[in-house]
Amino acid sequence: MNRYLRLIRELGKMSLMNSLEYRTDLAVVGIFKLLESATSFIILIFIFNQVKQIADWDRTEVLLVNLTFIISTSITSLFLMPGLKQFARELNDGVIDKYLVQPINLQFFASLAKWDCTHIFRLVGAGVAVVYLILTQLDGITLMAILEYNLMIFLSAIFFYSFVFILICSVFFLNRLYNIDYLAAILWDPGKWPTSIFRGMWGIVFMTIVPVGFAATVPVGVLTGRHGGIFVVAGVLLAGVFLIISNKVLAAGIRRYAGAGG
Amino acid sequence: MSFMRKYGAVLAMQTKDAFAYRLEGLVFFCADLMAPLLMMVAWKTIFESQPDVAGYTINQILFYYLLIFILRTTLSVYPHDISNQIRTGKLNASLVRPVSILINQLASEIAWKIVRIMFLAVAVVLLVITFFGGVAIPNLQLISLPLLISLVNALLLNYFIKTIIEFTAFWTSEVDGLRSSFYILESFFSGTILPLNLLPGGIEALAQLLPFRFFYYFPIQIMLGKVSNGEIISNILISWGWLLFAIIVTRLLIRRGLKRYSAFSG
Repeated sequence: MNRYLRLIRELGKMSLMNSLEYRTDLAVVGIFKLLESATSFIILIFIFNQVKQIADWDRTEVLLVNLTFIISTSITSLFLMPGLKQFARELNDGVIDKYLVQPINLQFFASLAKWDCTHIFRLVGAGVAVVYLILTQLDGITLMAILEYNLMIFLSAIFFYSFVFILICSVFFLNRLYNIDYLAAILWDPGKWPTSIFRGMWGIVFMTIVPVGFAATVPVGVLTGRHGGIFVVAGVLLAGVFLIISNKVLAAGIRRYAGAGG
Repeated sequence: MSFMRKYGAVLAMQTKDAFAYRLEGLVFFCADLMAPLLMMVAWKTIFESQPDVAGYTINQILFYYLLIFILRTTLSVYPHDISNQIRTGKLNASLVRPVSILINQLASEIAWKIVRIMFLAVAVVLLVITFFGGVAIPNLQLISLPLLISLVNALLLNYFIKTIIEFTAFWTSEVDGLRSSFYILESFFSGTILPLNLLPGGIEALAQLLPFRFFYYFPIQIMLGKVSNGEIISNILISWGWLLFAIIVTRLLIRRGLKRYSAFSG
C-alpha cells in the first residue's frame, strides 16, 4: 500500500514538474478552462432570468448540478484522463507491453501515469462557488449531508473513470478506435443537467444506458435532501460494481492481447 | 487544368483516408451533435411552462440549434495536423511535395466533411422526428446568393483563423493552450451555445466586434430572414475584411516561420 502511495506521489511530482516547464501554457489553459466553465453559468443565469424552474429544479439547484459536474469531471481530468488517453492510444497501436512488464498493477499504472494540472483552476473555482452557494443560498444543510455530498462526488468520479476504462478496454475485443476516450466524455456530458429534463427516449438513453444521474444530479439531490440515504448506498454499490467490471474487462482483454512490440 | 488534376488527386487521397477512419469521424460527429442536442432538450423542457422566452418561440429556438448543428458539422475545421507536423518535423515531407500545405490541409478538411455529411443526414432526420413533431417549421431562406457567400466565407474564415493558431507552432513548442482557449472563445462568441442576441448587452456588443459570429450566427440569421439587405451587405464586407486579414497573417506566419524552422529527417 505504501509503495502505491509513494508511486502516486512520484507520478504527481513528475506531472507537476512537466507542467511547470510549460507554465505559461499551464496558466493560460487553466484560466481559459475556468472561463469555459463560467460561460455555462452565464447561460444558466440567462435562462433563470426568464424562468423560475427547469423541470422542478430551481436556480440554485441547477447551478449546483452544473458545478458538481465540473468538480467531478475536473478530478478525473486532472488525475486519470491523461493516463487513460495515452493508454487508449497505445492500446490501439498494440504497444502496451510497457505496462505489462511493470511490477505494479496494470490498471493503476495505466490510469495514473500522467496528470493534467491545468484542471486545478477549474476544480478550485467550482469548489469555491459550491461553498459560496451552500453558505448563502441553502438553509438547513447538515454536516452529514455535506459529507455524503463529498462522498457522492468521489463516487461520481469513480463511475466516470470506470465507464471510460470499460469503453477503452472494448478496443481489446472490438474495432480500433483512436478517440474512444473522447466518446466516453461525450456520453457523460448530459450529466451537467438535472436528469429530469430528459424525457421519453432521451430519458431512457441518459438515465439507463449511460447512468449520468450519478455524475451530478444524485450528489446534489443528496445534499439538498431530494434524495435519501438509499442513493448513497446505491452509489457505493454501483461504483464498486463498475470498478470491478472495469478490472475484469481489462483482465479478459489482456488474455486476448497480442502486442506489436513497444 | 494541371492545378485541378493535382488537387483533385489530393482530395481523392484525403477522402480515402477519411473513410478509412470513419469510426473516429463518427465520434467527432457525436461531439458536434451533443452540445446542441442538450440545449434542445433543455429548451424543450423550459418551454413546457411558458410559450415564449425573450421573444423566441419554441420552434424558433429549436430550429436555431438544429441549424447550428448542421453548420458546425459542415463548416467547422480542425487543422491540428499542421502544428503536429511542425513539432515533429514531419513538415519536411510536406515542404518537398509539389502541393501547397494550406490547400493540402483544406482538402483533408473537406474530405472529413464528406464523411460527416453522411452521418449528418441521418442525424437531422432523427432530430426532426424527435423534436419537431407538431412544431411549425419556420420560413427558411435557403436559396440566396448572400447565403451562399456567407457560407463559403464562413468555411474559409474558420479555416484561415484556425491555421494562424497552428502556425504559431513555429515559435512555441506547445499550441494546445492557445488552441483550447480559441475554441472556448469560438463556442461562446459564434452563437453555438446561445443566440448572440440573447446574451447580456456588453457581451453581445463584444461578440459583434469579433470574427466568430461569421462562422455560424450570421449565416443562420440570413436563413431565418432576421437581417435586412443593408445589414447583409455590410456584414459580408466586414467578413471579407476579416478573411483578408486572416490570409495575410497566415502567409506572413508561414514565410517567417519557415525561415526559423529546422528539422532532421521527416
